[in-house]
Order: sequence, then C-alpha cells, then structure tokens
Amino acid sequence: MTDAALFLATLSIEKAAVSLASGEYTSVELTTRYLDHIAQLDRYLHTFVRVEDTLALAQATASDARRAKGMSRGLLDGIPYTLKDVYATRESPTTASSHMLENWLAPYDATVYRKLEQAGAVMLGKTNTDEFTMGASTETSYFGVTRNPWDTARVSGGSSGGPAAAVSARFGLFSVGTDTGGSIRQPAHFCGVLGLRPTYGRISRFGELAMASSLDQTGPLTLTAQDAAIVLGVLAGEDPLDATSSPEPVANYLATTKQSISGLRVGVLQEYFGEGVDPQVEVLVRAAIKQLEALGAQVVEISVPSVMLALAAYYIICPSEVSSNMARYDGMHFGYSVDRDSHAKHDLYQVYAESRAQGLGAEVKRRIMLGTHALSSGYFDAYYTQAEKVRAIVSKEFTHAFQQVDILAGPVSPHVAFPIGAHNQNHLAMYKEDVLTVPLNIAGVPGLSVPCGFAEGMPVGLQLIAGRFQEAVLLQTAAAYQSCTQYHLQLPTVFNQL
Amino acid sequence: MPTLSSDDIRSLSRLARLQLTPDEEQSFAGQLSEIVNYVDQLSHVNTSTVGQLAGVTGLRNILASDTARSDTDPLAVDRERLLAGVPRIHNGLIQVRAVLVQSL
Repeated sequence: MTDAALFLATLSIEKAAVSLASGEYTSVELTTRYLDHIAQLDRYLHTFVRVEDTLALAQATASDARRAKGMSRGLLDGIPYTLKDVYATRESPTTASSHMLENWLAPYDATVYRKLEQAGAVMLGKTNTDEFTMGASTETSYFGVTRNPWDTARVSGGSSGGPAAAVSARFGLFSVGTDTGGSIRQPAHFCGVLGLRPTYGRISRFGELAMASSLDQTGPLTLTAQDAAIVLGVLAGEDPLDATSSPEPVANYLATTKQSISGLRVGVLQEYFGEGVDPQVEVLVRAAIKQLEALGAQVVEISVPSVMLALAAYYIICPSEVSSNMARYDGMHFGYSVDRDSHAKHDLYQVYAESRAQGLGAEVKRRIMLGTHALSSGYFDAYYTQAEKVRAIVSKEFTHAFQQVDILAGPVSPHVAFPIGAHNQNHLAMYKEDVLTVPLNIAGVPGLSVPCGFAEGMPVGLQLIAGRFQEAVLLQTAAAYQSCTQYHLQLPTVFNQL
Repeated sequence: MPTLSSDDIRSLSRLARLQLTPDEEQSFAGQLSEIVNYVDQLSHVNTSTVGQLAGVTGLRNILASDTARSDTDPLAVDRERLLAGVPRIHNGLIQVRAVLVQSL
C-alpha cells in the first residue's frame, strides 16, 4: 500500500483541522491527495457520478487564502467531502442518478450545500445513489451500481451507497446523504462507516430533490462520531426556506461526544431480534450492547409492539408521496423531454407521458404507479388514511419507549451486504431490506449505524435510536463505543488494489 | 387477496401520465399485486380510536414574515438560470402544447 493511502486511512476531520490550522499541510495539498486517491481507486467501486476536480481545487485555494489572512471559518474550512447527487447546486450538475436529470444544472443551491460552502468545506464531487433515492442497493442508478469496498461483488447498500462507499474508501473526510427509509444507516452498516439520520426537520430539505417529503432527512456519513457531530453542528437548524425545518435549538454535539455514558439507560429493542435476523449479525449486535453495559450503561429489554407494521405503512406513504413529488418531472419545465426535438409532433399528453416513460427508470415508475393506486378514489381511505393511522400508533409507541430509556439498540439490517443482482427478480425482498430502518422514519426519530464487527468478512453495524431531537445522546453513545473499539478504523479490502 | 389486472395498470398509467409498454403493463400488474398484498396486512389493524398522523415534530402554521425580497437577494432565483433548462421557450416564456384543442 502506498504512503498516501496509509496517510488517508486513519485521518479524521478533527485531526485534519488541527493539521490545517498548524500549517502542516494546506487544503490544496490535502484535496490533491484525495483527488489522486480517487483517480486510483474509484475505478473498482464507481462511487462517483461526477468528480469535480476544478471546483474542489478552487474551493481549497480559497480556503487556504482565508486561513493565510487569519479568517478561517472553523473546523470544516478546507476539509474535502463528497455530496450525494440529490442536492441542487448551481456550480455542478445534479442528476439524482436519473436519465431524467442527466444534464440538469440547478438554478439555485440547496441549503445543505450553501451551509457547507459557507463553512469552507471542499466538495470533491457528487456520489452515486439509487435513482431519485429509490432503492436499497444503488442498483437502480441510471449510471450503474456502486460496489462495496469490502467485496466488489456485493452492493454498497442504498440509497446512499455512493456516500457510504466513498467514506469507507477514504474518498474525502465525510459525505452527506439522505435517509427516507434507511438510506443512510443501511449503506453505513454495509460499508463499515458511521451514518446518522437526524430527527425529521433537524436539517433543511430546501434544494434536496424530494422523494417522500414527510420522511426525507439529510445526515452525515463519517468514520467517527466526533466527525458526525461536527458536520451535524454545521447542517442543523431552522431554515426560512423549509417550513418543516425545526426551530428546536441546536445542541453542541461535539461537546457531548466527550461525555461518559455512565448511567445511560439502553433498551434492547426486542422485536429487532426476531425471525430472519442472521445469527452472526445478532451475536455481534448483542456483544456491542454488552460493551455499552461495560461502559456504564444500564441495559433493559424494551418492546415496541407494532414496530413491524411500519414497513407496510411505509410502502403506502412513501409511494404516495413519490407519485405526487415526481409529477414535477413533466417534460415541460426542466429535465428530460421528448419536446426538445423541435420537429416532433406531440400533443400535451404525449409530452407528459412519453418524457416520463423515457426519462424515468423502472423502480421510480413502480413507485409512481403504486402511489397513484393508493391515492386513487375508492382506495384512499383503505390505504393512505389507514397507513397514517398506523404511523400514529408506531410513533406513540416510540414516544412511550423513550419515557423508559434514553437509547434503543438493535441491528440495522437483518444481514450483511448482499451480492449484486441478488434481488433482481424479487422487488418485495428489496423492499424488505428496510424493515429495521423504516420504523424510525415513520416515527420521525433519529438513529445511527456505528460499526460493531464483521461477519463473513463484511462489516456489521449497531443501530442506536433516540427520542426526537436527541441526536446528542446518539453521538455520545457512539463515541463512547468507538473509544474502546477499532472496527471503524479497519481498511476495506479494495485498498489491496493499491 | 387484492390483485391488479393489466387493465387496472393501464388506467393507473393514464392517471400517472406515464406511458407503459405492454411488457411493463404485464410485469407491473404482477409486481404491484404482490406489494399490495403485503401492505394489505394493515387492513387488519384496529385503528378505530386513532387519529391520522402526517407530521411527527408537532410544527403547525409556519408563516414567512411579510417582507419583500429584492432581486439582488441571493435566495432569489435567477430568471436566466431558471429558463436555461426549459425544453421550449417563446419570447422568454415557457411554451407548452395546446391544452384546449378545437374539435371540428
């Protein structure tokens, strides 16, 4: 392995910020190292939709100039990162990994990007996702699958497979993704990194291409809990451009990662250890909970009896919101259109129906159809209204659980990363990938995945869940766990290619 | 067991403004039936005493302050950038196909 790779292997935002401040290296030097590393290794993984060399070096140069004048903007200034390709940015095309937006340049910046830019962070490029974030493996990306850095014959998970694989392969110091039904936590678990889905409304959704508006939420993917705390601190907060963003005060997340978890009440989520969970995964997750106990936590068993109904509710609510959000891709305003050909003779209906038919992929179509069915008259009450009522039940049960404990713990997914193509013929099996992650989205509570070991040579994550706006206690617990484990510092096997 | 026929799929595809091939119509009928069967488990849940929940953070009636935004506001979207992605433009306006068609 090259010295450059070894240098990047154990680097964190915290460490790099110290080195940038002391002048040990500049942001341009750091950024160049990452760009070289990506050029060498991404051919095996395909984590990027687009690498933005020129933009990254310009942002790094600006960061170095600020620092030279004593005007550094804080811990993220000069820090290279990657962005899931679902955030509108004026300087770089935004595709959502869809043919529909293959050539789209957004006319405005997402709040998430604007905040990262204002913090001085350096965007290395846009990473791959399932098309419009619909999937659990990045296999629905129009640009092709992202391979798992631990075994390139397996998926990296999804929909934030690109961001998770990028952090695992050390392509930048953090990534930012979205989680509508598990899309940050499941790929983090598959790729052996930390992925945090904050409370719904904690981070602005303005400029984040919408999948399901009542469930979507942005979050960081990093190696360490401290780094996730730093990124969350920059991204969290109310935004006048997103009426669903929360005015709840933003905690000092980094400070809480230094605190002990002695006395913390941890609930083992009983329903998460049922049928279908791989015994090897269960053993590792239970061992991780034992480790929390050794760190001073009080561990009890907790039941959330209706939690397994969340998946069925999700696959009504999510496609319903998808069918309505995807209506904007109409061949009239932006994106793919059969009407770009001035000789074509289409009527209004054909412009809609054929632009959408040619511009959207199979999984997006499936969800539009499913949502259209669930929302159609005669079915609305039976499906959508009933699903929203089940949502209320699940949400209430979580609220009740968090009156008894501070944290719930369980697996992120029933198994490790699966082989590419394993679910090609079975869409319901792919939907069931989300069974242990979706309940949090349905209830609007935050959760994270932190690496807790390996099964069949593949990473396994521990899922921690907290009450609404209690991200601080999640990060505190993950930091305490990482302080006595090394799983998050292991290098994936793709490094053997160097 | 609820199932969706190819006819159902055809009528949904019209509602969704989504042209499907005959192959897609057939495969979606099977796939959507399978998913609808799975979510049908919710019909057995007793929700007679439960209200609907759409928002989980308790926010309501969020209103913007009533102040004018200037054209130089960085949040104001640039007209040229906005129109750059439009398929058909006529005199600086988005041109669409006829909505009302005269019948002879």
